[in-house]
Parts: sequence; C-alpha cells; structure tokens
Amino acid sequence: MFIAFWVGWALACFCAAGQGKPISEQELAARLKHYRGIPDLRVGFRQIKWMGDMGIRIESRGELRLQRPDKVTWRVTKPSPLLVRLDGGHIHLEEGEGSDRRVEDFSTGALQGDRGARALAGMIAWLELDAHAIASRYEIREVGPRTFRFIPRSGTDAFTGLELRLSPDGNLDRMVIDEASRDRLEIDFGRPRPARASN
Amino acid sequence: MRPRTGIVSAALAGIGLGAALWVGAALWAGSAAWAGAPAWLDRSQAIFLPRELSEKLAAQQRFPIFWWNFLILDEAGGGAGGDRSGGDRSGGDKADGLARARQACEYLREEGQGVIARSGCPENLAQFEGIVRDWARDYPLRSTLEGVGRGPRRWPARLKAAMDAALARASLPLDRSMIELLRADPLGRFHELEEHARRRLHLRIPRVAGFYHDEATHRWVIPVQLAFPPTEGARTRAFLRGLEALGAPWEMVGPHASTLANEGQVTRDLDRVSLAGMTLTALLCLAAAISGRWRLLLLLPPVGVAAGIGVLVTVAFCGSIHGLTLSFGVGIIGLAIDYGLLGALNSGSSRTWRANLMGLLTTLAGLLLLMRSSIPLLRQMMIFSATGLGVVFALFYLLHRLRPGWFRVEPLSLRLEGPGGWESGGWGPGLRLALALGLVGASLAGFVTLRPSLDMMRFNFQSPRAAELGQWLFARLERRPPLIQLSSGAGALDAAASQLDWARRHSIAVENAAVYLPSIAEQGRNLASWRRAFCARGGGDSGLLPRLDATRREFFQPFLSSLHCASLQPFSPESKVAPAYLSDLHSGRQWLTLWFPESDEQSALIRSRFPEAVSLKEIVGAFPLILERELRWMAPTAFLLATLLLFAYYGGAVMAIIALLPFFSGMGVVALGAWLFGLSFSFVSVIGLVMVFGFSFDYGIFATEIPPVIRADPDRRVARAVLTSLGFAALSTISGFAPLLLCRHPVLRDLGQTLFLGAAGTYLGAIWGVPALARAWRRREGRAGEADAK
Repeated sequence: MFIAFWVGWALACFCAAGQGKPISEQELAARLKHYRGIPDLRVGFRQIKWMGDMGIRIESRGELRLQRPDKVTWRVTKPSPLLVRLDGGHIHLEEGEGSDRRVEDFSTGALQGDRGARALAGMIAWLELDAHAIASRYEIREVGPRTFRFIPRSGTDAFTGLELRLSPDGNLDRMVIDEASRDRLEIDFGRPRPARASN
Repeated sequence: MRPRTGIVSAALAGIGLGAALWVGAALWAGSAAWAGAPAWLDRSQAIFLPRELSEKLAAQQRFPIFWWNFLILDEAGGGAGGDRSGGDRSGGDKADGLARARQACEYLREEGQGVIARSGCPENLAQFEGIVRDWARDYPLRSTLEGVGRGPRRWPARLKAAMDAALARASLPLDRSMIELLRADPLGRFHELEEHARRRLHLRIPRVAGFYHDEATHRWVIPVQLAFPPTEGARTRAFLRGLEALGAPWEMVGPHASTLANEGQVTRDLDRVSLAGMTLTALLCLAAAISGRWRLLLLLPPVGVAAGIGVLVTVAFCGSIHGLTLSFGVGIIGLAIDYGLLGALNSGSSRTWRANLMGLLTTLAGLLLLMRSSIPLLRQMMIFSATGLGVVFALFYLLHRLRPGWFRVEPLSLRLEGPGGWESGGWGPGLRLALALGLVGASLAGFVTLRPSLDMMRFNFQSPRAAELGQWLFARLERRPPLIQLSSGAGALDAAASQLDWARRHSIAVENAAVYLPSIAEQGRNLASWRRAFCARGGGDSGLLPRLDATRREFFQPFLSSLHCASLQPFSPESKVAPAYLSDLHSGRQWLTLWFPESDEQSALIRSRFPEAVSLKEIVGAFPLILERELRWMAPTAFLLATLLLFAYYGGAVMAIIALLPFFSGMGVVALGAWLFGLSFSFVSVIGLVMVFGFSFDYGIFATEIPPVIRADPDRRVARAVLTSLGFAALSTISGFAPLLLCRHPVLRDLGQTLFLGAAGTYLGAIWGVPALARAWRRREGRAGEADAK
C-alpha cells in the first residue's frame, strides 16, 4: 500500500509536469524580447498539415516576412505559389501564376463571422507573438526548454491549442497548431535572414 | 299548441341535436382540409383554374426556386412603421442587430438541410458543398478537355498546376467546408457559380459583414430558402417557432409566411364559423324542441345523408373533393331544408310538393348550367350540390309520403287579420310593399352600376405589418416579376438552349437549365474529348490520369472520381434526379424557365415568341376573369331558364314575375350594403349570389302559395303555415351564414356578407312583396278560390 501510494504520487507529479508550468504575460514577454526586437524579419519555413480523419499529409514550403509593427507576409512556394499578407486590418491573397493568377482582398472586420478567415488571420497574427494579446486569450504554460503551450480561454477560438518552441537565440523554431477542425499544422522555421531594403 | 315533454321528446330532441352536430362536423371537416387531410380531400389551389393554368400555378409550389423567403429584423425590435431615417441611432443597436443576425444564421445552420435548403448567411459554405461538388463533377459536360489547358500548356500540366494551387491553399488553416470545396473543385469552377448566384438575387440593400442591412430603416435581411413547399404549413410553423425562441423579433416575408398566414386565418375563421354555426343550430334545435316543434329536427338527418352521398358521388366523378366544396356545398344542400319545412308546416295542402318541386327545378337549373364551367372548383361544387339537393329532396318526399305523421308540425300563431295584423289595411302593408319594390329598384340599379372587383391579391390575407414589410422589401428587388414557362420530356434541355440563345440575341435576362448545362449534342461533343483521354478502347479507364502521389490521389478523390470512364455520361433532362445546381429549376419531369423582362416591350416580345410564358399574377388573376366571362352568359341563361319554368308552372307571365321579386329584393339589399356601408363586392360575392339565386326562387314560389282570399282559407292556416315555413327557412339560412360575418379572411367575409344580406333581402321580398302583389293580381283576376281548391 505504501508503494502504491508513492507510485500514485509519482504518477500525479509526472502528469502535472507534462501539463507544464504556468507562466505570466511578463515572463512570456521576457522570453520573446529578442524576437519582438527584430523590426524586419525573414525566415524560411517547412510546414506539414495533417488531416488525420482523411489520412492526408500536405507538405508545403515558403518564407515568412515580418515587418513590424503589423505587416506579416506568408509566402508559400511549394507546392504552388501562394501569398497571404496581413497588413493592419487588411488581408491580401495572391495565388497561381500567369493567366491563372488570382488576387483577393478583404478586411478582417468584414470577416468576423467567417471561421476560416478568422483562423487565417489568427495564424498570421500569431506570428507577431504579441505577449499581451496572447495572454489575454490564452492560458500559457511552459512545457519544456523554450517550449510553450497555449490553451484558449474561450471555446470559440479558431484553434484548440498551440505549441511554440524558440531557438536558443530566441527566434521562432517550431510552431504546432491544432485547429478546431482537428487538423494539425507543424511549422519548422529556418534561420532568420536580415531583410533587404526592397520588398 | 302546448309543447310536449317527457323522455321520448327529449330523446328525439337529442337525435336532432346530434344531427345538427353532424352537419356542423361536416362543415368543420372542410376546415380540416387546411390542417391535414385524407387523400380524397383536396386542398390544392390548382382546382381554381383550368388545367393549363393550374399547372403553372402548381409550379409555384413545386419548384424550389419559389421557396425563398426573407427574414427581416428591425434593430429597434419591430413594430409598425416604415422608414426611420433621422434621429440618433447608436452603434450599439447595429452591433446588437449584427449579433442577432449571426445568431439567426447559427439557428439556420443547426436546422439542417431537411428544413433549410440554402440561406444568405455569409459564412455558411457547407450549404454549397453539394452544389459545388455536382458543378465540378459536371465540368466535362460543359467544356472540352482542351478547355482545361488553353494555349501552350496542355491539360495534364494545367490540371497538375491547379491541384498544386489547391493544395497550397489547403495548407492554410481553413474551415473544413472550404477544404471539401478544394477537394471537389481544384479547377476553381465554383467562381462561375458565384457569378450565376450574383445574377439571381438582385436586392438593392448594402451588405454589412456579409449581411443585408438597410441603414435608413435599420433592418437586417437574411434570404432563406426552405427545403419544403409552402403548403406544408406545419413545418413552416415549427421553423418559425424555433426562430421565435431566439428571442429576437424576426419576421418572415415570402410564400411560406403568406401561405401560413392565409391558412391560419382561414382555419381560425372556419373554426369560429363552425363553433358559431353549431351553437346557432343547437339553439334553433332547442327552440324548436321547447316550442313543441321538435319534429322539425327530423329534417336534419336527411341533409347529412344527402351530404354524405354527395361526397361519394363527387369523389367518384372527380377523384377527390376539395375542402371548399365540402364547406360551401353543404350550405347549398342545407337550403333544401326549405322544402322539408314547407312540407312539415303545410302538409295539408296538395300544392305543397308541387311548389317544392318547382323550387328544386329552378335551383337545379342554375346548378346544372354552372356545371359547364371550365373552373374545376365550380364544376365540383355544382356536382356535389346538385347530387345532395336531389337526394335530400327525394328523401324528404318519400318520408313525407310514407310517414307524414313524423313531420307534421303546427305553424306559428301569427296575427294576420284584424287591427295591427299582417294583412290589415292602412299604410302598414302598403309601406312594406313599397319597401320591397324599392329593393327591386335598388337591384336593377345595382346590375347597372355594381362591378365586382376582380383583384385576386386583395384576398391574400396579410397583417398590416406583413404588408408593410412586403412592400418595403419588394420595392428593393431589382427585377420585375418573371414570366414562367414549363417544358418537359427529352427535348427540354434543347428547348432551354434555344430559349437562352434567343434571349441573348435580344438582351433579355433568362434563367433556365441551359444557363448551367449545354444541349445534349454539345454535351456529347465535350464528353468525347474527355473519353478519348480517360477511356480505354475496350472500355474502362485508360489510366491516362496524371501520375499522382498518394496525397494528391487521396485529397482530390472527389474530383478524380468524376474522371472515371463510367462517370463520363451526358445528363438527360428525363433523369429523375437533377444535379444540385439545377434542383431549383427541376420538379418531377418538368423544367422551369424564368424570363425577366425589364420593360413592357420586352414582355410583349417574349410572349410573341413564347406564347405559353405567363406571369404568376396573370395566372392567379385568370380565375376571376374566367368566372366573369362564364357568368356573363351562364347567369342570364340560368335566370331565363328558371323564369321559363315559372312561366310553365303558373301558366302565365305575371305570377312568374311576381315570384321573381324575392330574387331582386335580395340583390337589392346586397347592392344597398355596397353603396351605403361600403361593403366589398368581389367575384366571391358573385359566387354567393349563385347561392342566393338558389333559395330566392324557392321563397318566391312558396310566397305565392299564400292564399289571397280569406274565403278559401277561413282560419288562415295555409297563410300561417307558409309564413312560418318562410320564417323558419330564412332563420336557418341566415343563422347558417351569419357566422361568416365574423371571419377576417376576405374570401369568407365577402361570402358571408353577400349571403347574409341576400337572405335577409330575399325574405323581406318574400313576405312583404309577393303576397301583396299576388293578392292584388288574383283579386283582379277573381281566381283566389280556384287556386286554393286546386
């Protein structure tokens, strides 16, 4: 019985440790200070989207550009050119090439009712890593070295969970997003490059 | 005569009451036509029109394109009133309105496709999945394979590029409904559908966050297409109850709301009429029993039996019986009570049943003539009424012959002679005669001046609020009401293609299947190019699909399945199931074409080329026009026929003309009601006058039976008997139709007004005018004693 008690206690500690240590907004801001301090960031990414219920895995590559304070460009190069730019309250979308090129523009305010567009805008906004905005909507836990888990405080968010890992030098290393549709995005970032003067 | 008491009397009175309740139940059964009915009980609107027009009217119910309604929300919470421009409107109201609009869309999404086919909710892409899937699947019918890759890029590369672009989009965090759209339509053909959808609904109201919102009136509008026809009122009611439970004052405008409002009001009115009618009937029965004349109640069961036989005969001839026929036809049959009353009260006179027979024949003259109407409802009513009248007359006659003692009843003790008596001299009888003749004059003036309103739309029952919202909304529709054309059979798609081609050459907007699918021949040409690539010579797939990895094969499986050889088949218009994007235009084996003329000239041009194209308003308005056209010759012919019968009966013109006086006095009271009180006079009133025609001749014939000479009727028994039967007949007729005055629905109210006033005027003409004129004529001819002796 004594052994069973200690085994049970150890198991509880293990489970509690797996859930991570809660951290405050200020702590998160301190961890993100280096990343937030870069005014113009360019970094490549490799993403895998898992659609578990269909057994489908979509791999894509591209580049992220972050121009503070509020301009984010998500450029997919493989499997096909696709550009999503979040600029203030506007979303600009370009896809295809040549005669198949299509452009769409809409404002985030007009899309409040659109769950899909909210998810897209949410992902782009996440890349800015604003600690205050994050802490107001998510519960933050540190689940490993430089690894944080974000759990939405309300059930209406486009994401059911998000995990972020920073590199040793404080840049984005990996982001895992669990969507409300039960799809999962795993994004691995490369080394950031200084941005050129032109776009 | 002292009233009888005792158990036997009470039992017989109970039988009479039961019979009255049965008759009332038959009336109520007519109202059941609106609530839920057996197969032999018809409640369709098609019966109002000849077949060629009723099919087009039925189209409004059958084709889902006509099942669009509009949910409207006033930010201030509803209430009467139009524009509310001006004044300070806080942003809070608008934000609240937007939140309520989203809440309503959430409700619409939860209701599911069994209730909601489509809605104008901005974020509900799932509702278009079926449409986009079928649209993408049928791409090979609309375009050659070479059309996939124009220019130097051949279709395999083009297809691969499209799939890659779809995968790139799918890599973003998207709603699952958008993912499914990408899987089914990697070529992005759904953009073509977006353009078609934009062309369909032209609502001149700006959008806010994807919802229609009018700043001037602070109204939010959500178009909703229900998944069932407007006739399914119970489902409409359930949907509206769910909407009401949201707590926001949404109101619905459209065919379902209108049908529910009309059906609801008719049901409430018929319930009211049935209750009032049964109550009055029960009171009359009670009065008859208490006054010792309970034997009169035995007249009711034959009416019920005759109505039942009438139903059987009508169903045998017509296949079914309409609720309106059941409701009003029973009233016509009930007029046969007049014959039973005269037989019961004046059983001692040998002239009684001759008079009754003449009354029946004059009524049948009108009914048999109206049976030739091209309006199925009128034909059916006349079959039912004529059958019932004939049966009840025969039953009354047989019963009076076989069991005369059953029905013999003493007349009322009316004071006829002496000071103050009905026949006394002085200005009393003279004034009454003058008034009766005045009513005749009014009827003649009415024939000249009164024209029935033929506007069918005034019979669309609407609350003032619904009328205001409807006018506000339809003023913002950018299209005139369309012209409807139906086609069917194997050539329907080719006919639609021909219509589309003609419409484009004349710059006229049209919506038909050819907008979405080419002709059979063109489908064949398009499919041939796909089959060359995807079908092996010996049948089966050729395996020429671009070599795809597992991800692409799995992700685009919905699209790739349409490229299998077996799937590359043309669409036949005779197929039972149409593609989802054509479901609005297809019903059974019929296909719908909607023409949208922008001017009267375009309307005329369309009709010159396609004479069968007609607007809904014209279809609905055809009923009163057909009725008016037919009554123009039927009414005078029936009147002439009945008059000729009277000539033959009386052996001369004068008495025949005197017997017509109640008919004219009845019409005169109706005319006075229209002039003095502004009561409406419509084609429904004309139908009511048909019924007035029926009993007015009876009253006139009965009234001429009142002996003018005291010598032939020393105790004035015959006079009392006839006057009593006339009084009871009028009382039962008026009490039978008076409850219709309580109705709010214009059809029932107009009918009630005409019947009530017509019955009252007929009665006054019968007792004030006919006896006095008949007496005067007979005194002049000196044949009073001979008439009674006969």
